[in-house]
Amino acid sequence: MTVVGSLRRAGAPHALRLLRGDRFAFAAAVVLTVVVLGSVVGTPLLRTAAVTVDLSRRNLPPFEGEHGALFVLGADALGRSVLARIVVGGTTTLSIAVTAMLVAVVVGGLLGLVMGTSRGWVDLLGMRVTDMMLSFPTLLLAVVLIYLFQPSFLILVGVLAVTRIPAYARVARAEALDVSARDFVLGARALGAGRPRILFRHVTPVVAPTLLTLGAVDLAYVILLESSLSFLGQGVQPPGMSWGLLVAEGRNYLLTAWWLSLFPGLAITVTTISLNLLSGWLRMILDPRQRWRVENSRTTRRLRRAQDGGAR
Amino acid sequence: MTPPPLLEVRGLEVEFVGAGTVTAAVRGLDYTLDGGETLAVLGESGSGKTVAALAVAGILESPPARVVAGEVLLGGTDLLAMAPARRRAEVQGERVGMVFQDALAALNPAYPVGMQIAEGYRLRRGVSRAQARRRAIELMDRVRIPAAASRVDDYPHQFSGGMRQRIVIAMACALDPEILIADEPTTALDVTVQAEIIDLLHEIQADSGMGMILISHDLGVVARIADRVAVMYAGRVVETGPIEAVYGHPAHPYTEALLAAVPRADVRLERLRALPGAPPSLTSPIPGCAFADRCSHVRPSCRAAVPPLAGVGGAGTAQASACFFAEEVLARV
Repeated sequence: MTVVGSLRRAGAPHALRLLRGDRFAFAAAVVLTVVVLGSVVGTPLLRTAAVTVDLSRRNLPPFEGEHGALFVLGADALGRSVLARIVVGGTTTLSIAVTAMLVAVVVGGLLGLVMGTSRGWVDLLGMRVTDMMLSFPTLLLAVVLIYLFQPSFLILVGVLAVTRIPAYARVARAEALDVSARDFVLGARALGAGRPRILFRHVTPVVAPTLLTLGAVDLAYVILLESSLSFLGQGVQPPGMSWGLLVAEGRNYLLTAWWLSLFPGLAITVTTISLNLLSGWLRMILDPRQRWRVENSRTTRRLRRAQDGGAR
Repeated sequence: MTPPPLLEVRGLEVEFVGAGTVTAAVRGLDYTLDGGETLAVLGESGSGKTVAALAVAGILESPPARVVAGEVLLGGTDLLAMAPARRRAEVQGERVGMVFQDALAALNPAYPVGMQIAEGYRLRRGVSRAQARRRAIELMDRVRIPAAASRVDDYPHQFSGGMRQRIVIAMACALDPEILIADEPTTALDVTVQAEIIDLLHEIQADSGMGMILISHDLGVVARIADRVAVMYAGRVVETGPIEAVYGHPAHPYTEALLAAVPRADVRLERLRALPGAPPSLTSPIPGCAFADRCSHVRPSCRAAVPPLAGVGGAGTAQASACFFAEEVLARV
């Protein structure tokens, strides 16, 4: 794929330098790295601590210090470490959201590309179906679907993906319609390219950055959606944990133990904001016509000068 | 006996099927093209020149377009009768290349130009990416892009309009086709660049000996390099012949009017001489000469039957005109 290809050509160090050039995107990338690394590394370490009950630490306030680093964010109503529960819950939330987003991008994108390039009854049918799905409030649709099936990881991913697929399908279709009417598609046909080749090698690379950007923005939305579902008791079920569920569990103690809801809520906020910032940067980097904006930013230029100077 | 021409189009008819209407865009088109020859297809907007070229290149969007009748013979094989997959694999790009009007639209913004130029070459010849890249640089040199080796990884938006058109030409020539179809290759460019592009096309054609179909509405651009001209009106060729003959002594009133409408530097005119009226509607059959309504010399017999394309000016000239009174028109000048 070009998207990957163009970054590969630009070289990993170059991409990193471009990231340094945008302060907000860089900060967002750091935050997300911490979140992802924390989940991957921290979950196996903290899985036991997250479920260890100790009633002597009931609703322990945060930043006390005397109970060790594990309890820096306090403890919940059963004396379990809030920090450990946020880390483990984050893994659940992120894996559900990322999987759902990827499924939605791939399935929705493919549907849209096929609809946009085939026209006729395929297009018509697809559009009406997406219309129908989009006319349901997302959360209601998700709640109804989950009510029909038992909540589990796969069902949650499936439900979240299904509610997002129409959006990707419509965006991909609109872009594919525009792109496939351009002369370079005609040119590819003049050179003898077949339908699959045109679809995947000529139309998809132009549409992909849009979908990926939408995906990155949407990831934040899917995280919120998962959290909302869990908050409503329709998502992840105890004893499992997710950010939304942690917020929901803390609701009963809002006046006495604010930290139970605040910290998981902060985790959601910080992660979604970072995703939004990074997706904007990603869109610029993936579009060859926009990349210069980042390449020519003042910070990038300063970094380049510093590096050249250091090399000399 | 003369050898068969490289390309022969016989009785080509193309329709567009819309909601309740059928538009006959090309209604019985004939022309031939030899190797090493440049045929200019002239005509105003809607005369069917582009549609005919797309049919020859095999890239008509169908539906809505539909080839109703005719043959496109390339080296004796009828392209229209070929299976689409075989035609794609053996003819398109390989034997027929195409240059488009708008070079920016004809290049994919997501790929570097070198990749686009050599994509067909890499796949068809089964060569490695490195070899394809070398071929792209070679082709960029050939179309006179300065510092080709350092620009091969640039993206289309980083080139000027003239340079982009050169890249499109390089792309069309990547597989050394026998025929190059250039659809208004200079219309989107400014005048000085136009001349450069036309000269480049001429040079490449002379080097490789391929036949070129140059579609244009610009009589001046065509005059520079064409050997023969085919003037199209309402989906048919109304006059064809060597360029000197057609420009010097037009044998069809339409050609005559077209040439008269070109402003000349040496004649001072109060106002430009325009051709009154508009081309006929193509949604219904035209019983007689399509130009009859705009012709200043129209006679009743013109509306009765379609005049065939017939030789004029006696034996030995290759000029032909689709006018019942061609000899009279010829004698007028």
